[in-house]
Amino acid sequence: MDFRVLMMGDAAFTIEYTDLKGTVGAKQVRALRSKVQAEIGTGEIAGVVDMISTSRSLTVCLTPAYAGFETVRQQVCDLAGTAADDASQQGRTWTLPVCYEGELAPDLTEVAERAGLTAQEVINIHSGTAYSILMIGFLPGFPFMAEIDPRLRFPRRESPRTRVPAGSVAIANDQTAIYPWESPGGWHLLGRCPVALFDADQAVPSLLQAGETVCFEPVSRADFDRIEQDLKQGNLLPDSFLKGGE
Amino acid sequence: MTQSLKILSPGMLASIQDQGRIGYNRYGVPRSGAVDPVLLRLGNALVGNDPYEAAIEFRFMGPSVTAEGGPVRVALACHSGGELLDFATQEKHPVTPFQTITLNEGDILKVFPIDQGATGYLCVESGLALTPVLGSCSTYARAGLGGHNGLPLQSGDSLPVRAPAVYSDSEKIIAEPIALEDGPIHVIQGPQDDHFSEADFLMFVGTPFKVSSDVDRMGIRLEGRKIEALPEKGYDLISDGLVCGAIQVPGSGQPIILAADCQSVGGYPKIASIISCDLYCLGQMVPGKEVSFKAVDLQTAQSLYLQKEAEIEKAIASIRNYFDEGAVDLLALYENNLVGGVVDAQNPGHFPGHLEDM
Repeated sequence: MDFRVLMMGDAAFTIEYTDLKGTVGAKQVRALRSKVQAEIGTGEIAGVVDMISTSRSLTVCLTPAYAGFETVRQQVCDLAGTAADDASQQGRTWTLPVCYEGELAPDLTEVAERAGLTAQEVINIHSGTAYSILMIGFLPGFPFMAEIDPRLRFPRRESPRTRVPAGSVAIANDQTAIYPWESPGGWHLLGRCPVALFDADQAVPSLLQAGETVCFEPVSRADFDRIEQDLKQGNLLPDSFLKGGE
Repeated sequence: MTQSLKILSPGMLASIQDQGRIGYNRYGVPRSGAVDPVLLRLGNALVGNDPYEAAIEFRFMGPSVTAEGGPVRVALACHSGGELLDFATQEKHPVTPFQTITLNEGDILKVFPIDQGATGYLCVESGLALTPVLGSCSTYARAGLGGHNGLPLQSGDSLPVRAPAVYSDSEKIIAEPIALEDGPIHVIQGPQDDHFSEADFLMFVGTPFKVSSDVDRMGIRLEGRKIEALPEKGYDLISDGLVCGAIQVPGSGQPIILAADCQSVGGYPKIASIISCDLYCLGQMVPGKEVSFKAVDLQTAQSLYLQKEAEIEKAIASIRNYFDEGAVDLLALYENNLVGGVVDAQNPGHFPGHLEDM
C-alpha cells in the first residue's frame, strides 16, 4: 500500500494513498480510520482530537503542539501500510426518496439535453444506481457519493448558484450529493430529498456515514410533501429509510 | 427576574464563541470557536471564568450592551477601548482595553470601533446561560448551531447570565496584556509542498502580502505576488482534509488563509500551514495590513508554543485591582517620568540621550 505523510502545521497530518481514489480509495481510508480508532480506544494512540476522511486520505488532528506528534505519526504510519480487508466495512444501505419534478429539479432538462437523453431517462439512470458514500464534508452532513453513470458526467456549472436550496440532490463529474443546508453551490440540481441529513440533537449528528450505500427512489410531488410533513411531525423517522426498515 | 446582558447594537459580525466544536469535522461540522483564542482567555481570566467560557466576539465594530434585571460584570478583551454611560448619574466614563466593568441595570457599555486589530471579546462574569450544541456554544450560523438561537447577535437579543455580579470595590485590569503581533507568522511547509517549486515557496515566505478586503470567519484572502503552482500539478487536487491555519492557493495564485469556520475538506493545494501558537493572529488581520510568513520545523513550533503559553500566563498573572496600589503606582510612575523630564511632555517623541543629542 503506497502512501505518504503530509504535514499540516503542528497539530495535523494527512496520510494520502496517492494512487487510490473513488470507492477503492475511500474503502482503504475507512479501514485505516477504524484501525486508528481502535488504538485510540485502547489508549495506544493519544492526543488525537478528530479525523477527517476523504476518498484517498485521512487527516489526523491533534491537540495543539502535542509533544507526542511524531509518535502518533509513526503509529498511524505503521497502521497505514496494510490493505483493507474485503470482508469488513459492510456499511448500511439507505433508500432515500427524491422528487425529480418541476421547480425541485431546476437542472434536469438541461442535463438531459446535454446528455442527449429524455428527462425520464436521466431519472431512471440516476435512481437506478447504488452509490457509495466516499466522505462527509464541505457542509455538516454533506455526503459525497460515487459513482455517477458515465452518461451523466458533467463538470460543475461555470457560474455557481449563490443559493442552492436545502435537500437538493445534485450531480457533478462522477459524483452525486445531497445539500443538507442552503448554501452556494456549483453542482447540477436534479431533484429534492425531503429527509434531513443532519440533526445536532443526535450523538452522531450526520444521518449518513462514509462507507454506507445510498439508493434513490423517485417519488411524486404529492408524496414528497407528505413525507416531508410526516418527518417534521415525527410520524416518520429518518431510520425508516434504511433498507429493511431497520 | 434573572439578570441578562442585552445587546443594544451588535456592532459588526458579533457572535457567541468559545473554544469551538472539537471532534465533529468528521461529520462535516466546522470547528468554529474564537478567532483570537488568546484574547478570549485573557477576558475570561479577568472575570474569573474558565479560559474558554463562551463570550461575545465582535469584529471591527464594537457592540453596545446594557444590563437588565440586575448587575452584570463584563471584561473588555480588545486592543481598543470604549465608554460607560452611568444610568444613575448620566456621566460617561472611559473604559480602557483589558479591564472589567460592572454594569448596573440601565448602564450602557459602548465599545468603540476597533482601531488596533480586528477582533475583541466581551466576557461575562459567571458566564452566559447558553445550551451547548455538539459540545460548544460557538455560533455556526450556516447550520444554525450554537450561540443565541444559532444566529449572529442582533439588536434586542437578551443573553441570560448564570449568576448576578458579585459586588466588589474594585474592578480588574491586565497590567501587561499581550501586544498585537507585528512580526512574521510562523508556518510549516505543506501539506502540498510538491505542488510548488522550492523557489516559489521561498518567495512565499520571503515576500510580504497584504490582507485583502475579503476577511471573514471562514478565511482571509491575501494579495501579493502570484504564487505559481507547478504546471504538471496545477491548482486542483482530489479533496483532502482542512484545518484552521492551512494556506490554500487557488488558480488566481492569491493565497487564502483558512480560518475558524472553514469547511472540513477542500480541493486547492495548500502551500503551508500556520502553527498553533500563531493562529490567534488570524483574529487581528485587518484589510490592508501587511503580513509575512516565516518557515519553521515541528520542533521550533513546539517550543514557540510553550513560549507563547508562558507569555499568556504572564499576562494573566499581571491582573491587578484597578484601583489598588499596583495600578496607582504604575500611573504615578508615568506621571513622575513626565514631571522628572525623562520624557519631555511638550515633545513626547523626543527622548533625551538619543544619538542626535550627543
